[in-house]
Amino acid sequence: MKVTILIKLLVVMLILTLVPLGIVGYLALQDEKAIGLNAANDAQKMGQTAIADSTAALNAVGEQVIQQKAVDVARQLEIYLTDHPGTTISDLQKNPSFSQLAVQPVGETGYTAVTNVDSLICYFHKSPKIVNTDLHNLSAALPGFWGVMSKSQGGVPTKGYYDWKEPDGSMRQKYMYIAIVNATTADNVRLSVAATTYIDEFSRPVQATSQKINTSIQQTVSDIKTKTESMSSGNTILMITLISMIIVIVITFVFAMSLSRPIRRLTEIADKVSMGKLDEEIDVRTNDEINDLAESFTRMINAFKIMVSLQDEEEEKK
Amino acid sequence: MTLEQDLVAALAKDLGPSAPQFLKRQCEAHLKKSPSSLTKADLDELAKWCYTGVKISLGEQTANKVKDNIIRLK
Repeated sequence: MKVTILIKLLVVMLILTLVPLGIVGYLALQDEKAIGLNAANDAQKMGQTAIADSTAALNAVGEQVIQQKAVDVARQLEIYLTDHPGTTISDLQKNPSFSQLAVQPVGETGYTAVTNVDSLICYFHKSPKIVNTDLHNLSAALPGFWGVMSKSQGGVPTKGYYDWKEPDGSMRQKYMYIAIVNATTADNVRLSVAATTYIDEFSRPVQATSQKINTSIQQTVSDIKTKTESMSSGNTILMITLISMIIVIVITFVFAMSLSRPIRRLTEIADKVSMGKLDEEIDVRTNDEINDLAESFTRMINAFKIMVSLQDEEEEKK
Repeated sequence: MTLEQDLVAALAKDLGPSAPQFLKRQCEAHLKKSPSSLTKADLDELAKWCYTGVKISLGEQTANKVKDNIIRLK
């Protein structure tokens, strides 16, 4: 099979053009995908950090609110006990006004409760079942709650988180602050006020925002993946490759023709000379080695003519 | 280089490989000398006969070039 100069040049030029273009294109696509995924991951992390920070800030506010409620109620009880010095704990339990002071709402669902700081018997509670119950009895059933409550025994202000089991079996976190009442009853009972509620009541607004942020992040991640997978850059690279191929083919064709045309012409002249036609004009003019070849052809034909002429003269002499 | 070699080189520019034989033919036929015995004094005469010889085969343009190349060796 004859491999022409045109084919050789085309193959070489296409390899030299398309191989680097392919490598650069492949690397560019990989980089684009990596940048897209990194951007998506960063957006996700940023969103999660914003949610975590907001939740922590609101929880801190919630802790302050719960603590302030416990301290406020403790101060109110102190004032009441100071104003009613002869009142025993039994009298107080019968007094609805004191009960209202002792059990007050905290947050949306929380409440305060009043306990004997020495015996840890609960005297005032939202649930009548708990009233006059020794909280030691809850140590096994509610270890988290007991862990915070037990530290207040003896009159130590205490705070802490504990898990609370919901009716559906799920666990929610509660925060409790126990403030000490700096006054005693007539029968010398020292009291503490425990304020407690679900901490997520305070961070609930950010949970809604969290949903919005998560939805937005998911949308962004999805958009980035869609755009990356749609291969818009791939199409651009393909277009550049095709345009490059066309330009390379055209340039190579023109260049190859400028090489092969004079060679074909010299071949044609050589064929004619070989058939005895010595009057063929060599009309090849280039600025390269082909021009040297054409001049050699001219000298060769001139030599033929001279040789023929000399031969004729020799024959005439004979 | 001898004068003969210079002449062959000058003629070869247009006549190619036939230059030595052409030179020999012109020297022997018209100057009655061998190419190796040529002197610069012979160049005018040689140029004239080469011009004539080349003109017949290759035309006047090439003949003039050959003649000029020989004269330039003087």
